[in-house]
Amino acid sequence: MAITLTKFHIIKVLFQIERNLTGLHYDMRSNALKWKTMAQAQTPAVTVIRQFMADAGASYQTRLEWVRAYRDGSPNWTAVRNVYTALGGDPAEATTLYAEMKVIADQLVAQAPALSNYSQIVAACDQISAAVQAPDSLWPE
Amino acid sequence: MALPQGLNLRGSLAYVTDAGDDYAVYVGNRDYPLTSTQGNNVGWEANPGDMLNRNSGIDARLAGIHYRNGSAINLRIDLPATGNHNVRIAAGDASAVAATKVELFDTTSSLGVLASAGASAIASGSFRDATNTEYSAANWPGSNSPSGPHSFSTTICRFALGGTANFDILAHVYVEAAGGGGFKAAWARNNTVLGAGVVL
Repeated sequence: MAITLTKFHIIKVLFQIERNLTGLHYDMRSNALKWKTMAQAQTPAVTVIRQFMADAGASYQTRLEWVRAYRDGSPNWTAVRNVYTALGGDPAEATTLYAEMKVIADQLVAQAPALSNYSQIVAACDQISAAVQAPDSLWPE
Repeated sequence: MALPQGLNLRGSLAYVTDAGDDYAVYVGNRDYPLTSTQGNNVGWEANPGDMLNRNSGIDARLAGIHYRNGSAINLRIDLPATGNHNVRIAAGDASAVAATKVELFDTTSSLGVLASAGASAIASGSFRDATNTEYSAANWPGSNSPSGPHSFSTTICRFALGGTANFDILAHVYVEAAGGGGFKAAWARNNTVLGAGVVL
């Protein structure tokens, strides 16, 4: 006997998507600021920082892929969309948010291996932090 | 994703400065999934309870605590690959006596209890390592031992904290591939006097 699928289960997934995407927004910016600080301090080595950046880009892609895979593969996606709509959200904006962050993740993975000095790392981090504004927060982040 | 990965558990980010392999988990930056500065997906899978800054004058890995009273909860690190890994922990409190129970899991398969100490069993300012050996805050950085190698058949590494009637406390966890990155990891782990200035 299977457990009945309820709105509780759908809301759990919706909140996971919310936490994943808004958390990813925060991580993209905060990690860029930390890598910039490392590059300005010139420690650790350029090769280590750029590996951090490439690995983080891959992690960002993983987190985004979770959302895409559920959207394209779960029979319950329509129910998630309906709950989001009932809360006043437009599913199209979630798609836009996904696409915006996917561009940044993909660029990070593609470009990080070519960074060869601290100045280039600082410039790359500045590009990320310019593209990813600080998310609203009640407390300092 | 790449290892090594350390997680420093405390109350706020700016309280101390983390070394190159370490990432801070703190109030407002707690829940899985977080992407660490080192590029790994990490975080608590449930609310640990309290997260506190304790002493900024000691090794950054020991500066804060997270603690749990009740059923065990998991601190998760997603590994880049399956295979053998070593882990390190610091379980204790810089400012008070402490208890702890920390168990390592490969997803849901237990790989053993790393540290276990009943109520008030850990002296104030001391920390249990991954072999359940207790060191002072001054000695833990240079003397703590890893546990392992542990064979992971999945890529989900979980440190389960709690599950006793005590306030179980954890300050730091760390995972590295066994046999890989050895010199860098070992050298950096045991030369913390260089702190953030260590050249990796």
